[in-house]
Amino acid sequence: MVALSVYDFVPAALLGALAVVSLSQGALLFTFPALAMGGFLGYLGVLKVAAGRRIRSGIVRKDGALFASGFASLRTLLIVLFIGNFGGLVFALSCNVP
Amino acid sequence: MSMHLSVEDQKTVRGAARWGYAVVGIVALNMVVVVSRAFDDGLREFVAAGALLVVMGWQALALAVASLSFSSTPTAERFESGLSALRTYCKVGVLGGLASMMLAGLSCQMKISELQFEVDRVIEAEVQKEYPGAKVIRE
Repeated sequence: MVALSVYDFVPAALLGALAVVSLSQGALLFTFPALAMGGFLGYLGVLKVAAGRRIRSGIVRKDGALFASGFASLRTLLIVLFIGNFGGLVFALSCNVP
Repeated sequence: MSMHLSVEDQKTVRGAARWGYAVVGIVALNMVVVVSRAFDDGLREFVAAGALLVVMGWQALALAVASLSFSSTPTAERFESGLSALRTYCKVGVLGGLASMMLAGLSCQMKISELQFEVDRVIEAEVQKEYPGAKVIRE
């Protein structure tokens, strides 16, 4: 799970690069959405890495508290995912552009 | 030696499982919206929407299995199956997300070429209106 979480940073890094390039070209229309989306994906990646590492360490060390702290990170990740999906749903329902 | 989970730890695990159910529910609603718009545009958008639906559905299924495992009475086997489902969730997110992004990008590229064609058509019409019989030379 930790190794897979690293892949979450690839789209975040790509979006960060897009933000830098668009800022250098003066295309601010791309800069802020790319920054926001890249930050969101990066935050999700950080949470996933934290959850995976703590759950794994908890299992290896047989430490229930560490294991549960991994689940606390997972819960935060799921809350952020819920908010993101809810925002997407509201946007999709309010956007009538075909 | 087995791992001991206190009551508080079990509450944390169940809390994560409940949020998992919430995410599955909201993803299901999003899937309904994607299905309702899949037939609005052309075949390319339909294929991209289909790929997105497969990824979303697979991830939601894996998350539902993980949530079911974590919300029930904690046993080693259930945790094992829940963590396995979480791994599936991550794998599908990485591989399927990339595939659906590529399809969406392909669809956008096609749309840009259609837009260019439309711009050329409008320019041609305007030139013909101003200078009947003239030819537009593109470099």
